Order: sequence, then C-alpha cells, then structure tokens
Amino acid sequence: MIAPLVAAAVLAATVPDLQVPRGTSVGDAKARDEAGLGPLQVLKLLADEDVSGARSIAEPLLARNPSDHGARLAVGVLRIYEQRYDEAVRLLESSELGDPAGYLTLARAAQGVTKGHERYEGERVTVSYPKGKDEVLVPYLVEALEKQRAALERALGAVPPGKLVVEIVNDVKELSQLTTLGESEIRTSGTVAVCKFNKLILLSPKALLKGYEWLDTAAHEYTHLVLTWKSRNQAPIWLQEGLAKWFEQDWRGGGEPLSPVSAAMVRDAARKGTLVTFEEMHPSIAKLPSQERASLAYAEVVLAVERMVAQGGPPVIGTVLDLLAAGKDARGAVATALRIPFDRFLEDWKRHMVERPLPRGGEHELRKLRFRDDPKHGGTWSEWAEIQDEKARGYARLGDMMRARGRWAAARIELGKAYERVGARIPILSDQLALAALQSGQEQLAEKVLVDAIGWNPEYPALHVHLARLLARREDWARVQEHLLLANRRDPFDPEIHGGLARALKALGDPQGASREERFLRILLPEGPHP
Amino acid sequence: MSVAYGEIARVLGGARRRQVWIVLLAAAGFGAAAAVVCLLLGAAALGAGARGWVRGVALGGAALAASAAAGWAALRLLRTAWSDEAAARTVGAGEPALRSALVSSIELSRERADVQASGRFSVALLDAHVAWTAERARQVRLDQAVPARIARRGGVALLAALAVAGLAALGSGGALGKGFSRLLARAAAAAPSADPITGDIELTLRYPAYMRREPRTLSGTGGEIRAPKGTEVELRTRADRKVDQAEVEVTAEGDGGARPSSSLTPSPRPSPPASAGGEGGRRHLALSVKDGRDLAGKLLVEDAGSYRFRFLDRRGRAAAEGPPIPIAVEPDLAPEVRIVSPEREVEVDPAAVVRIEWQAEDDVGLAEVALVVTPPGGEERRRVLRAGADVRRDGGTVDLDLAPERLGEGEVLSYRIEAKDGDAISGPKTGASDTHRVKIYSEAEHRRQVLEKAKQLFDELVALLADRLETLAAGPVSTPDRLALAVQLDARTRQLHERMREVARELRRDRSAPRPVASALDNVAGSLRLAEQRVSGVRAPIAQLLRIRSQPDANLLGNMAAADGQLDAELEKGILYLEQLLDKQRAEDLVRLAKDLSKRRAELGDLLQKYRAAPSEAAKKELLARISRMKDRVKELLARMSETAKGFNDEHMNAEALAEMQKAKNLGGGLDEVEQKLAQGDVEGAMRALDQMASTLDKMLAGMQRTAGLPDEKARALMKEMLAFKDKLDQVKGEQEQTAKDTDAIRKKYQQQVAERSKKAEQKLKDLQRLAGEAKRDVDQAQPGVSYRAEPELDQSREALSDLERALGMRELQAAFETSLRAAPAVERLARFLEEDVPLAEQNPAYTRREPQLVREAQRHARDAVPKVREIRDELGRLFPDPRQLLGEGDQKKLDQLSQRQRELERQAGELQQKLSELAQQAPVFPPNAQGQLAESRGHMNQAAGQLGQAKNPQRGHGEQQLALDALSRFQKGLEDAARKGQGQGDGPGFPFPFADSGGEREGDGGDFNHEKVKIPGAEAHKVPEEFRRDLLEAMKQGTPERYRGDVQRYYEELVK
Repeated sequence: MIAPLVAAAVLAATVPDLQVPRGTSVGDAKARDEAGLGPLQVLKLLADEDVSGARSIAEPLLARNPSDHGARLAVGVLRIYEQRYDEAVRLLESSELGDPAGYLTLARAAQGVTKGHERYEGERVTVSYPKGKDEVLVPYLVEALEKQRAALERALGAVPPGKLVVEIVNDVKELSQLTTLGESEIRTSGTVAVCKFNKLILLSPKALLKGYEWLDTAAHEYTHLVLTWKSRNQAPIWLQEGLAKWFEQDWRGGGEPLSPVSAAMVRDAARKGTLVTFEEMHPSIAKLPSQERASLAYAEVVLAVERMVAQGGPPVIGTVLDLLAAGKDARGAVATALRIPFDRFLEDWKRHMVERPLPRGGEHELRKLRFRDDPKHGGTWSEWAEIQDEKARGYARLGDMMRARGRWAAARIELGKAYERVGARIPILSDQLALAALQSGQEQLAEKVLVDAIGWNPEYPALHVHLARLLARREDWARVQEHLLLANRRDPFDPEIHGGLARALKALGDPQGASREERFLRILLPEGPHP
Repeated sequence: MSVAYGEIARVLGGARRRQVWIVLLAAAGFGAAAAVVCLLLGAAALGAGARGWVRGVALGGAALAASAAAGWAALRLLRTAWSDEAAARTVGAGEPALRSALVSSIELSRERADVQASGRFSVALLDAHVAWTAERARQVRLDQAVPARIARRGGVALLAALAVAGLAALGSGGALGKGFSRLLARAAAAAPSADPITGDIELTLRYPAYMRREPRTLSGTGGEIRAPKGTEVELRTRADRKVDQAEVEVTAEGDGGARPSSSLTPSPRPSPPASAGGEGGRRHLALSVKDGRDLAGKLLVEDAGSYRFRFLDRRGRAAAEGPPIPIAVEPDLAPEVRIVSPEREVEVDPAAVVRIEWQAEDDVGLAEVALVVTPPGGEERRRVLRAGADVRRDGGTVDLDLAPERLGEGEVLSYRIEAKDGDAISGPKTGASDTHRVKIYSEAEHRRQVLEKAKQLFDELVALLADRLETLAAGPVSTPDRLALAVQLDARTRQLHERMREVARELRRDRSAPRPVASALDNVAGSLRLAEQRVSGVRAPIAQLLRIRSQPDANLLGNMAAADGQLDAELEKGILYLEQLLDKQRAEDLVRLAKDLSKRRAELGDLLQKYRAAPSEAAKKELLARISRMKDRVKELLARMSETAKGFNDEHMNAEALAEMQKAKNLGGGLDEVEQKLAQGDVEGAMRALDQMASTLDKMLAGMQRTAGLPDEKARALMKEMLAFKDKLDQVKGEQEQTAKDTDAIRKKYQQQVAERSKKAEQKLKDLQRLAGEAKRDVDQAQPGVSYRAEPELDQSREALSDLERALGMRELQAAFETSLRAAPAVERLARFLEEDVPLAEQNPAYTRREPQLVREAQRHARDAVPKVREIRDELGRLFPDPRQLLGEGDQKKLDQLSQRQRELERQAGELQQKLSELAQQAPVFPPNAQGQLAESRGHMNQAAGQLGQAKNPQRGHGEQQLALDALSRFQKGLEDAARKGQGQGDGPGFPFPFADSGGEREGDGGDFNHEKVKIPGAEAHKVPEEFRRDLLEAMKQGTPERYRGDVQRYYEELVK
C-alpha cells in the first residue's frame, strides 16, 4: 500500500511541477492537469485500489500529453494494476524517471513471472496460472471466489465492480517479486497470498510441503480487496485482517472462525500477556517476526470482530466500514457503531479472548503448544513429536518401523497401542493406523479411526483421502466426493483425490465433471500431462 | 556243359579281362591326376609361404585321391567283371536282348543237370537256346561291347594335370619348386643313421659372462647339450672312419626351421653354404679334422633343438650323418621377490613408518632391487634399495615413512618390491612381489562397519517383533500347531540374544567400536534373555500337556500370554533404545565425516599458500593431484553421508541437519573451480574459490554439530532421573546401615544376657549334649533296617541330631534350640514310619526291601531316640529364653522404633523398585537381575521389621538387616559395573548411567555382572584367625531359611575346621 505513496514522493521530488498545492480538489481534470497534479492523483487512487478512478484521470492525461513523463509514469503504473505488464514496462521506461518506488522493477518482474502463463477468463474472475499442474486449481478457485463475492455482497451491500484477477505463482521467489515483500518476510510470517495491485496473488500449494488452506486463503485475500475498496483503504490493519478472517469461510457457508490451535494459542497468550498489540500489527501482519506471532495476531483480530458482531450484530461491520470511508478513524468508527467507548470495547475483547470456550481439540493444542515451547522438545519438528505421551510415541515409532518394512499387521498392532493411549487427536497417528488397518484387512477399524480423527482434525487431508478410499470400496460415492473435496481444499495436487473424484462424479451422474477430473489426474500423474 | 556254352564262356572271359584293364587304367589315370592336383596346390601354397599344416593337407589330399580311385576301381570291377553274369551284363549292356540271352544261358547251363533230372524243362530246348546264344556271342566285338573310353579319359586327365604342374613350375620362378621341396622334404630326406658315426663327445661349456660361472668340461658324453642361452659349447670327438671333411648340422625346434636356431662360431674352414631353399633353419658348422678322424668345433647355444655330425666327401656331399643329438636351453628365470612382512594389507596411522621386510632371489644373480610405491591417485615412484650387488639371494628391510604422503583416513597406498637380474643375453628380467597395501586407519570406517553389525541385529529385532506380533495376534497359542510356531519364535529369540551378546563381545575388542553400542547390545540381550526364559518356562508345561492331549487350564495359558506380552515389551523397549543409540552414533559419524572434509580443505589451503609463495611445476602437479584426491574423497564422503542419513528417525535428526548435508553437494563444484583456476595459473582465484568452499564447509559443520546431537537431549533427561535414583538409593542404603547399627547395639545386650544364662546351665547343657549323642547313636543303629520310604526321615534325623550335638557342644543355645525343633519331628516321623513298616515287612519283605527282623530292630532304635530328642527340645525350650524376657522395656521400645524405621525403609525401597521399573521402561540400561535384587532387599527389610517388632528378636532382625544391606550392595555394585561397561574411550557415557565413579571397563558376559574381587588367602593363612572364627559363629547364629539350614550348618563347620 505504501508503494504508490513512495512513488508519489519520488515523483514529486523528481518532477518539481508535481508539488501538491493545499486545497486542490479532485474532480477538475483540467485544473489538476494544469497544476501537474494528475499523475499524483492517479497514484493516490491506485494506492486505494481505485483503479477505475485512476483510469478516468490517467488515460485522458496521457492522451493530452503523450510525451509527458508524469503522464507516462501514471499510466505505466496504472497498467500494472491492469495486468498489462508489457505496456507498463514500455511506458515506465519511456517516462525516463528511472525506477520510482520500484514500479519499473515490479512491472518487469510481473512481466517475467507471468510470461508463459495460461489464462482462464471467467465471467467475474480471471485466473493467470503457470502451465502445468496448477490448472487443477482453477475451477475450484473460480467457484470459491464467485461464492465469496456473492457472500460479501450480501454481507456488505456491495463489492468492487469488474473482474477479479488472480495470479498464481510457483514459489516464494515469484511471490516476493510480485508482492514486493521480502522472501524472508514471506517465509517468516508464512504469507501465502496477497491482495495487491488490483489482483490476488496466490502462492501455489505445491510450494508448501503439505499444502495449505488455499481456497480459504483466496477468499480471505479477496475479502481484503473488497474491504479496501469499501473503506477507501481507511481500515487499520487489525480491522482489515480481522474482517478478512471473519469472512474467509463464507464461501463455503461459514464455520468456526478459529482453528483449535489458534484458539489455544490466543488463550495462552492472553493468560501470559504476550498478545500481539494492534501497533505491532502495523504495517502488515506478514511482517511479524514469526509464523506463530502472525497466527496469534490473526486469532486476536478475528476475535475482535467476533466480539464486535456479538455486541452490535452483523450490520455493525458495514456501518464501521462506511464510517471509515467517510473519514472517521477506526477507534471512532467502532465506538460509534457499537455505541460504547473504544477502550471498553478493548477490555471486552480481551476478556472474550480468555473466556471464550475452546473449540474441540483446543485443550490438546494448548498442551501441544507448551510442549513445543519446552526447550527440551523445541528443537525438532516432527509430526510424531505431537504425541506427548512418551510411551505412545514409542509405539508409534515402532509402528512406523513396521510400516516401512511392509509389516502391516504388526504396524497396526503397534500403532493401535499408541492410539489406545492418545486417542484420535493426533492426525498422523490416526492416519497411519487407519492405513495399516486397511492394508491388513481391518476395514471397520480403519473407518472408525478415520471418522474419529476427522472429528478432531477436519483439515488434515490424508484422513479424508483414506476415508474416501475406504468409502469407494463400498461405492458410497456421495461421501467419497464430500471427503475428497475436503482434502482438495488443502492438498489439491494429490492425484488420488482427482482420480477418486472422477470415479465419484461419474457414479453420481456428472460425466463432464468426471472427465475434467480424469484430465486433472493425468496432469498430476508422475509421467506428467498427456498430449 | 555243352560246346556252345564253352563258346559263350570264352567270349565272356575276354570281356572280363578287357574290362579289368580298362577300369584299372582309368582309376590310375584319374587318381594320379587328382593326386597331382593336390600336390600341386599344396606345393603352391607352401611355396607361397603357407604354414606347415598345408603340407599335411596336400599330402592327405593326394593320398585320398589315390585311395578314392582304388576304391572306385574295386567297386566297378565287382559290378562289371567279377562273375560270368556280371561280364554278361557288361557285354550286353548296349543290347538288352543279348544281355538277357547271355545271362539266361549261363544260368540254364549251370542248372542243366538238374533240369535234366527233374524234367522241368526240355533239355533240348535249353541246348538250342544256349547254342543260339553262343552263335550271337561269337558275333560280339569286344572293343565295342566293352569300350575303353574311360581309360583314355583317365590318361588324358593325368596328362593334363602333369602339364599344368609343369607349366606352374616353370611359371612360378622357383617358388613352386621350393613348395614341392617343403612338401616332399621329409619324405625325400635321407634317413639319418640311427647309429652314431662318432665316438664319445667332449663338451666344454663357456657360460655367458654375466653369469660369472666357470667353464665346465664334460667328457665321455653322448653329446647332449644342456646350457643357458649364450653359452659357447666346444665339441671334441673322433669319427668312426677316416673323413675328409665334417660338419655339425644344427636344427632348431619349431616350425620347420624357418628361423635360424643357433649361430655358429666361425669355423676353422669356411662353412659350406646352406643348401639353397631346402634346409630352412638348419645351419652347418664346419668342424676341424685332424689326423683324418679327430673332430673339433664350437657352437653357441641360443635355442633348444638338436645337432648332428655329418661327414662329407671330397666334393662336399654328405657321406654319412649321425643321429640328432638334443640341445636343451637352461632358462634364466626372472627373479622371485616376496614381502615377508607386513601382511598384504595393513591399517596404520597416517604418520606411521611401515617397516617392509623383503627377500629376493634369482637363479643367476640380482642386479637391482627397488621399492615401488603408488600413492592414491598418483604415479608410481621407484626407490632403488640395492644395485649391482650381483648376489643370487638378498633380503633386507626398508622403512616406508607415510607422513610425507599426507594420506587421509581410509586412503590406500600400494607398494611392491621389484628385482632385476643381469641377463646380458636376453635382456634383464624383472620379478615383482605381490602388491601390498597400506591403508590409513579410518576410525569412521571401522565405526561404520561396527554400526552396520549392530544395525543388522536391530533389523532382526524388528523382524522378530513383527513376526511375534503377527503370529500371536492370529489367535491363542493353545493348539499344538500354534504352539509349535511360538516355540520356533522362542528359538529365534534365543539365537538373537545370544548373537547380540556375541557381537557385543566383538565390539569390545574393537578399539574403534563405540562402547555404548556394545553395552546397549548386552543390556538388551540380557533383558531379552530373561523374558525369553520366562516365556519358554511357561511354554514347556503347556507343550507337555498338549503332547498328552490334555487341555491346559486357563491360568496356565494366561501366564503364557502374560509372559509373551512381557517379551514383546522387552523387544519394543530394546528396539527403541537401540534405534536412539544407533541414530546418535550415526549423527556423530556425520559430524566426523564433515570434520574430516574440513581438515582436508585446510591442508589444501596450506599447499596452495606454499605454491603461491614458491610456484613450481612440481608443486602445481602435486596440488592438482591433491585436488583430484580430495574430489574423490568428497564424492566418497557425500555417498557415505547420504547413506548414513538414510532411515533416521526424524525425532533424532531434524530436517535442518539434513538440509545442511545437502549443502555439501556444492563442494564438488567448488573443487572444480579451484582446479580450473589453478590450471589457468590464477592462484588468487583458486584461493578465493577455496575460501568460498571453506565457508560452506564451516557452515555445514556448525549446522550439523548443532543439530546432530539431538538424541542426547533425551539421554540428558534420563540422566537427570537416574541421578535422582542414585541419590535415593544411596540414602536408603545409608539409612539401612544406620538402622542395622542401632539394632546391633541391642543385639549385643541380648547376646550378653544369653551368654550369662548359658553359663548357669552348664551342667544341664552337658547332659543334653550327651543325650543328643545317644539319640544320634540310636538313629544310626536303626539305619540297616530303614525302609526305602523312611530313608529321607533317617537322613533328616541324623543330620539334625548331629547339628544339635554340635550346637550344644559349642554352647549355642539359640542354634541348639532351633535344631532341636527340627530334629524332634524328624525322629518322630522316622519312628512312626518304621512302626508302620514292621507289619508290612512281615507280610512281605519285598514291600520294604528289608528283612522283617532288621525293620523291627530299626523301629526299636528309632523309638528309643524319640523321648531323648523330646527331652532335649523341652529342656532347651525351658533354658532358652524369649527375647522379651531378656530385654528391658526400654530396649523393647527401641526395637519397636527400629521396626518402624525398618518398615519405612522397606517402603522407600519399594518406591525405588517402582522407579527402577519406570526407568527400565525408558531404556534397558539396568542389569537384568537388578529388579530381583531390589525385591530381595525389600524382602529382608520386611523380615527384619517383623523380627524387630513382634518377635522382639534383635539377633534375627539384625541378620535380616545385614542380608538386606548385602542385597542393596550387590544391586549398587551391579549398577556400577554396568555403568563402567558403558563408558567408552572418549565417547562419553552414551546413555545415562551415573553410578560409575571411574575405572575402565571389565569384560563380562552380561549376565553375572557382579565381579567383586576375591582375595586369595596366602600360605600363612592356613590357620583360621580367631576373629574370623568368631564372626563365623556369629553368622551361624543368624537365622537361616529352613530348607538351607543343614547346608549352611555344614558349610560353617567346614570353614571352622
């Protein structure tokens, strides 16, 4: 968000004519033009993600003064927001203003990253993605974003007009190039998507070892775009993130806003007094020093919104955003909307964080947190390390050894011993036990274990995939589809998911869908896409 | 026979003769022509230089042609001229009617007599037919009927062949002639005389100068020469006749003598030229002839072959030839060299000096001996050890200093000893020893091998557990088939723990083997052994029951299942523990590997610095060689690292450490750059590249060191708990000692009281002792009639009465009273059994295996003994006081307190036992019988508390306390021993064991872990010291379990004696 302003400052310093005189109003193009304010205004509007507004100024400006450096710069930056990178590079280079605020670098990077991208043009969503297996993301992404758009329109009354552009990038390096965030910042904060420059930049789940909730994330980032537009970019970061988090699951009908781990984390921090302050969250949660702090910040702000909605009802959000757009600051907007002093709201919120009942699994996660904070165990990360009970961990390890040697019955027995001690809370244990049970012909046990484990860990894709595998044997295709879609929300590149979906859709009478999934399966198989 | 038939026979006879000639001539013509062709072809080939086998083929072909012709002729004659019928068919070949008439005439004429006798045909008609045929035969012209065309053709063929041969001979310019001469040489050569044409031959051998051998003269020989190549042989002999000229013809062995065999020395007269083209490798040496018969000459031995004497006439033609006389060449062999020591491959330290002992030998003489060294990746270097010594045998030692080679761990330098002889004739020959290898000792490699062994055992453990789990999960082990499976698994378990102990012993002998691994294997094996023995123990009775088709009861099966569960638990524990330990070792190995790499890089840096200071082509060459070696090393290390990192439990080696290892892959590229820059002469660039590599290496090493030691974290936690356990144990033991000390004070008071009482009852005791003697004699006298079933009672009675008599003699009231309590029932039982046996014996002696009389006697003696023993018991009961009567109230109160303390200690020991069990669950670091010892100690503590509390018996209470302390001490000692075993040499303890104070490790089999030193008494100690006797007596007074009392008593008696 800061880049356009920096550019403006750079621009102002570079082009003396562009000093902004006090009291100049927006609206008189000619006057602006004469005062040399046009380009600056364009950049300002772009900073607020008001691309149409910027366009209405910039295009005539360049038409009138095609050789004007400022006009070229303004339109060049506009072209970045329009994803017309070739033109952006050409205009920015010809502006002869160097690389103000890094826009030229950004344009060139975007040009390079998106070179060779495939493009999907939907009615309301355009997706630009690298050739290859990222194609499997497109239909799900488009569907999720369209649903989110409808949900936000219902909740907030309006969404930005025009198409949403999504650019999928291969890796952290590309994400860094397109977002201007540093690579280390991205890695530290665990940033996987950014809504910026009038588009949604999404890191492909293939860049992460175990994928991530990519559809929720896309919905989250799109919500940012809507909020920025709706509040005229006046919402502080805590409110932005809180609201985005609050709305991110609306595309799939909503749900618990906090995961067990986040709920546990926030309660722990509230008790210890190690919460992330609103000031620390500025300018971006992505700039917090660790993934844990970033997760904590998200949990805090969503609870702030939850508290706000609890106090003022769902319409309060629209009210706050309107007040912000009208120029009121966040404290005032919240206080006005809730009709209580802001400090009182803060106190209520902090109490809420401590007192809010933990979702299922929260107690366990809290213990896990402590376990990981323990220096004795903090050095190593292993999924098995989630098992706190040493004996159970030993059995699990033995089971793992048996599994590695293809001794499925023995693996089932050992993993079963571990499972008896810790129950279904540890997803990897449950998953491995279920797998061993399946392999050694104990389907009933496998199903029981998987169902219980999904209750505790609904986001763990392997559990869904293995349950779907089992259900497919019984030809319970509706449930197969349900579980595979849940798995796909986190691990979309597992060929088994798409293979299973193809079979399920065929059985459920959706030959088109089945055909698409079969194609995805071919794309994802190790030998690569078929001609 | 009729006249007509005679006419026919005449014609046929003429035809037969004609046919014979024609066939023979034809065969001769064609056969000879074919033979000529074969010979011509053979000669042509030989003339063109073909090998000798062509001769055989050509001659064979000619012979075959001749044979074929002869064969054809024979067959032909058989078919056309052998009999009258055949001749008839030949004559009538062109006229079938005539042929038929001739044949039928011959046959009918032969059967005429029979026809006439039988009257089958008309004889007249027969004669008429013959006459008619004879008439026809007379008209036959034999030159037409038997044509000579084929004979003519044979002749033409022969002529043609000869013509071709002649033309070829003319056209070949002598080559064909030479070919013919090679083809027919042997056949044509004049057969040498089988008999010698000379007398005895005197040979004087003058050896080549390099051999330094004296000339040797052999007289009266048959002329056979056996000498080394290059030897000059002087021949002297006498011809058997007067000769004008004589010579020696020398023939080499080989392919017909194409190559000259021996060179001749200049003869006294010019040697006649070798016969042109006919004699190949034969050479002629003219001999000097003196007085018409004395012959002399010289030849030089070069190759094996033969020679013969030839006498020539005045015109130089051979007049006589002697038989060939063999020439054998004595070979001059290459030297033989061997390295006596060290072994073919030795492992040494990098700075070692290897002493090489060598021996070399040559049949003639050694000219040079050298050591040839090949460093890894380098070129051979020769170092001459001896030169010009010219001895036949030599030997010595040479020191091979490895320090300048700068070899790294695991690198191999090869060497051999080479020796040359001084052969000036054929050129020096070289012999070499086997190539030996010096390998730089690599601890990492040894460790790896050791760990590989441990890993194999680990894998077997996992497989065994898997098999057990799967087998036992398949159903209860309660049928013979299922039980057999379980028994097989038990056998595998047994073999495995035995092998683990064996490997542990091996590891202890290997200096590089990590001690903790050996100890861990021992510990795991020990635990497994106990568990396996338990399982086998329960399994045996079940097997027995199943064998007799009886169903084992549920309790027994339950016990077996529980024992199986325990064995599985031990396996699980052992596997997890070993995995952790092996991972730790492997992690350490990874760090070692990285360190080794880093060290090598530093050495390379030094070399580069030196090169920069003083560049030279040699230094550059060495540098490049070192880089090449280092690249190999990097590759090897990377492979090892990758191999080592496989299969890590990610709890023990985190992803960060593994990622650090990945960085090592860039090292090869770094070295390439260094090499490239150096080759370009860019020393600065090479240094920079090396620095870059150093930085990568340092980071990698630091990262790995930081993360590779993760298994230690677990060990540290366990160590903390173990230390707490040790402190608690020390505390319990200290308190037990104090309690025993306090008890001892009261015990002494009690003993004093008892002693005073004994003094007062001296006379009574004497009487009782006498009575005991009498009772014993009674029992002894009963012995001959004691029946089989009463024998145990007799033994017990005799033993108890002996003890009783002895205790009374020693005035040990307590012991005497206790013994009397044991003796009385035994004697009573004996008397009762014998009383029952008397009527049985009287009924049938076989029932008792004793005569009734003897049984009656025995019963009487036993019966006599009963009142005596009872009296002793009762009297002693009266004399021996209850401790409560002897001790004051204060002391009894103290005993109550001590009893409470003792109970508290027993509780604490129980806690220790519980903790021990928990710790043992985490790691099998305790000796297998540790639990048992703690339990034993607790048992004695409990007993002591009872004795001190209710019984108020300080004597026995103290005894139990001492036993408790003894068990505690043994437990503690066992732990210390186990800890010492676990201590390595610089490896650290490996697993937590805080008991050992110091000292090295002691060898042991892991089962019997208490190795308390035993003092062997000297010769002066033949007399038992008084103090010792007292102690023993005191000890004897302490309580002994009922069933061991007799043994203990005898033991103490023996000691006192």
